[in-house]
Amino acid sequence: MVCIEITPNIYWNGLNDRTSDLFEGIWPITKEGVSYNSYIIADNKVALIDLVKGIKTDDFLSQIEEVVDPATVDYVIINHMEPDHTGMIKTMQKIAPNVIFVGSERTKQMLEKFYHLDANFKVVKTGDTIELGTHILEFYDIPFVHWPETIATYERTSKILFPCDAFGGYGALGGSIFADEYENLDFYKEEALRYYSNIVAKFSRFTLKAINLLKDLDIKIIAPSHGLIWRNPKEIIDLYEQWARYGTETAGEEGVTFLYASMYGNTEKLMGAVAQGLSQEGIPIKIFDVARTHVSYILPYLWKYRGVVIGTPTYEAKLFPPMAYVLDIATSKRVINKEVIRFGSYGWSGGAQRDLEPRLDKLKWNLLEFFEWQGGPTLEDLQKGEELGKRFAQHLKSMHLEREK
Amino acid sequence: MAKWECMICGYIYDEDAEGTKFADLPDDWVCPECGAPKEDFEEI
Repeated sequence: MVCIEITPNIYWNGLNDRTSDLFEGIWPITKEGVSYNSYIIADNKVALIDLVKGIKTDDFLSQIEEVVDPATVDYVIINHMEPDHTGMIKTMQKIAPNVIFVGSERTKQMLEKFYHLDANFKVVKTGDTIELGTHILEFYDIPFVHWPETIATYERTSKILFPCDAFGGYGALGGSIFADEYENLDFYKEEALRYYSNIVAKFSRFTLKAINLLKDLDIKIIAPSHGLIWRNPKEIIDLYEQWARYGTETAGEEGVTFLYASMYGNTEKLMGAVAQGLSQEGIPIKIFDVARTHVSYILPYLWKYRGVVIGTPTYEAKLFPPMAYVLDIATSKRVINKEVIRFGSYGWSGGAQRDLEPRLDKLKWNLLEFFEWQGGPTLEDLQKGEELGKRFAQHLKSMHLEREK
Repeated sequence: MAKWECMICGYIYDEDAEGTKFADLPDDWVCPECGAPKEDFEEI
């Protein structure tokens, strides 16, 4: 892509990445892609806001050249030092040896450890400013959104907020960089929630703090470092605030993330019966075979839906390992406060339930009922499963009604 | 004496080193590293 002017003398200078398979080395983006957004403010002084991952160096430099000579860049603002935004840092320093990197005290320390740079560095904290000419940058500490060193940059004249990872999403940019130029935003909103649940979720309390800190600013545009630019900032702020509340309050939408796995189809049979029971009550359900689905795609549903069904057999006296993995990730991401039922088959002694319960305690998930049987389910077991599904749906619906009151 | 870990940032509260049991810390005590409240800590 080429540089795109957002407001006079402020340009998007990002890269679309459609060839990396994994974001952070774990989250699949093969089909969806991702963008690393960098910005140029060309005033008396020239500033870049965030860099990009260390790919496509020529493209990145050529884009800067469309606006300014890269050697004349005065400042590079490092809102967040994770290497998908700083991968080009050594290149920039070689090209513009007098460049001043700007970030928090913590960024300075971490950059040294990651890149072993001997660079000019200006430490900023909440309320500090840098005048570029008519454009004035203001800085705000927003720790743990998404690493401890993170800041956000607000440009006073254009009223653009550059929050780096906050308000970002997966998904390479499909033509326009602006959210309001898309006919349909479903893909980007889904990918923003997947990104939130994969990357930001654990730090929801900090996300709410950051939203609170920034809410007094007159923000006309939100320009994050992944995904679309929002000229209607309320749309993405509201979504992020809603998602952050799912992580800090007993909130969540009425619906069920249905996790199951089956070795020889016995637990799968019950899955069908329980799902039927749930469906009869008209509750939204999303079914995942956890052995065949990357946890990245499961997390957004776990994050937003209040109910979780766990259908898992015993495997060598423990939980079926792919299920244990999903619950481990959910624990690490602080997916807390869910209502849960569980069912599953065992071959001889069982053990999955014993393995599961302390995991649920850690997650603060409330197990309402569980149901196990040996080997293949009987017709009676299937009927029990259907009833279990119905009861669970009714429970979730009544909780939801209670909350609406 | 036990150790408690902040589930958000990984900070370890070591009762031995601090001289105060985690349970005896005031309710409004927060993680010195990231500011997370007590309920985000788990005994390790």
